[in-house]
Amino acid sequence: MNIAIGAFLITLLFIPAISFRLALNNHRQLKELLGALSITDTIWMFILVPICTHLVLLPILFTLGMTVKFDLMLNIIYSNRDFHIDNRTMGWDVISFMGYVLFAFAAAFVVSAWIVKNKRLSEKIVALLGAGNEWYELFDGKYASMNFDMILLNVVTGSKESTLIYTGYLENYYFQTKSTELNYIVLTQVTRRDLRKQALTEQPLGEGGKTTAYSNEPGIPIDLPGDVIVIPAKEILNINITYLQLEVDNEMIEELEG
Amino acid sequence: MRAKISKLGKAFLKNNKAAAALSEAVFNNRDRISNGEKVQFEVVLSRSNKPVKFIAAVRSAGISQP
Repeated sequence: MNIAIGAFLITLLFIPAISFRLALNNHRQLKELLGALSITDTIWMFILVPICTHLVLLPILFTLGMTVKFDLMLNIIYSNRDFHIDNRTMGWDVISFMGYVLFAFAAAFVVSAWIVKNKRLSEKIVALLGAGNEWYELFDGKYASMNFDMILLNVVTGSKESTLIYTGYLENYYFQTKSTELNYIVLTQVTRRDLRKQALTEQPLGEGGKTTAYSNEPGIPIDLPGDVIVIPAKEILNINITYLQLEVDNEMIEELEG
Repeated sequence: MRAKISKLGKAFLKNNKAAAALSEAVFNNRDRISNGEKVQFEVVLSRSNKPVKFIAAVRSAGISQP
């Protein structure tokens, strides 16, 4: 029982790590890549966060003449038999301790949210955690020279029968479980065409020789039914990415949205 | 992970004709688009009683080398 209480109290002290993890949910890349972490993983991974939080908060509280009764908690954790429990006193001590834990949680969350919103600092965190991902950087337009409205992809895929180009707007992309490897991409408003319009065969070559060549032009685009098309990454040979920036009148946006 | 699409982009994707017209404009003017030139295209919306023709422009946002 006491071991359980001790473990619970230690978890409470580590709770700023969880608030840091919650703040990371506001970051698209980190949210996805750290999504598989359990609470225990989170606490161990961000162990420095609660240490830093208490390191900052406790001196401030002491300066203000307030104390957090860690001796009380220590006695509970160690199950000290000599420790006299007075419900009236202990009640307030526990409440003030819980209040401090809540305050530490909120403070860590606010600071973490600010850090995550700061582009330079969030990039540092990504680099520190080794969560950099080339697919995220490409599809999030990290290297686009200006803002864009959507991404048009030309995806070349290979199959036994032919090589095809799928053209569509990127809607979603998924990584493999607990990995930064691309699993599949989801396109919308997709057309499909053959890589080569036609094969040009039987061209004379010297004395009765024949050769086969392929047209440089792609085939005719065919609209694909369905709202979205899922293309597994293992089928993809290469991807041509175009970041599109649109200019339209406001009335057109309203008309488009209906 | 959800792709980054602006409000205007979402409006285009909701409308099949607009999305198809945009896609066609990009394909037919791929040289100009890849050079970052602005390309105009027309979208005819027939949601109201008579077709409405809009002119929009598109260009590539380009790549700055990492």
